[in-house]
Amino acid sequence: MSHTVLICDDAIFMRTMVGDILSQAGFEVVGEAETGLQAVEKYRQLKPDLVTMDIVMPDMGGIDAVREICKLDPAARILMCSAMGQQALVVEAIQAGAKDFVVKPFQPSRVLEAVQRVLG
Amino acid sequence: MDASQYADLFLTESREHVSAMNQWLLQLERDGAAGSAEPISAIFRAVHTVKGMSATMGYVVVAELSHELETLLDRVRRGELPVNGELMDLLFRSADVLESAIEGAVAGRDVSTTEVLRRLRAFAEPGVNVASDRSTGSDGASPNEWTAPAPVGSGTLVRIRLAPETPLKGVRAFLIVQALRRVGEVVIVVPPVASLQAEQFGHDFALRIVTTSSEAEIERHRRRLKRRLAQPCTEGSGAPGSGSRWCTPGTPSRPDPPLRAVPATR
Repeated sequence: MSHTVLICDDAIFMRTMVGDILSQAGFEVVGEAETGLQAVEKYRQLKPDLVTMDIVMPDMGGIDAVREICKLDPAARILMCSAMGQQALVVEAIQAGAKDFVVKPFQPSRVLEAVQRVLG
Repeated sequence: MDASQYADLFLTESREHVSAMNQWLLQLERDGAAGSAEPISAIFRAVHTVKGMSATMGYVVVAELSHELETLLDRVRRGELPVNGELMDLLFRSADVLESAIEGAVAGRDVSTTEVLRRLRAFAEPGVNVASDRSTGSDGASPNEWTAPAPVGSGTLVRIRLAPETPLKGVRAFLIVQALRRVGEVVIVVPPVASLQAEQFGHDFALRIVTTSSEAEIERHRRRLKRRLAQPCTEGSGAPGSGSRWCTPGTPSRPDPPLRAVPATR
């Protein structure tokens, strides 16, 4: 059975790209979220094996979404998707419960390695 | 990850690469050091591809072996290690074990690679396991020297070096310290964690950890951390079908070992 993934990013391009990388590697993308609030709601519904989380999103940001999701499920496996220069935010996300991070621009190999670290 | 749909493809391709590796090894043996550039490069590429594929498949035994092999080959390629009889023996042996590991991984059985891994590491970096606190001289120009001073105190000294191009190295260092806190009590970190987070360090840092884990367990943690932190580029050889749509083709890989823990010598 393949691992299920919820992809959270406000940009369609990023969601499509991350989705392609993961589905080509055998993951099943079960949901997408455009905002932090949606991310929390969809996590509650879908209970995915993995969440990819953008940091900057409308209404509720990625870090608050990590905090909320970890309240629902302390074992949640969340991979942060960060841009260069966001190190303080990534540290904050890890303290909030995220397991690892990848830095944009994404390379499929890096994304998949980070995913394996999170799931491993 | 469920990569079973790719297992047959992995097996077929990996066998081809191992077969190519053996062919090039024969040529290398025949031509000797003088004509070694082409065979070594070809073997390096074959191993690199196997590494990328096996990592994607989650076949950690194959990935670890090919990673070590690749590290060694890279050093041979750069002329840092000699092409001699000992190397040839080791490479032939590695090809055999790699083949068994590949077959084993697909069949779901574990193949022991311990002995060949030990030999690869010993050949690539003689003396690495006996490194001591003395390597902290002030002339930190060489990339293989530790720049962070060793903290004094109780516990086991652990030194960590990140690969030169580690993205957000401050965050990565923070994650490593977090991971080590699950192994034992991290009593001191140099430079302090706040400086690490702020990226105010070179590529290495040091800490002391008090743990009830045995040396062997620490070594196991070290291997696992190292494997998990390796972030080599494997563009074009990652997920089957991913092609190079999102990558910059031709990006050189950085097979440098990203992490090294040295138990304190007493």
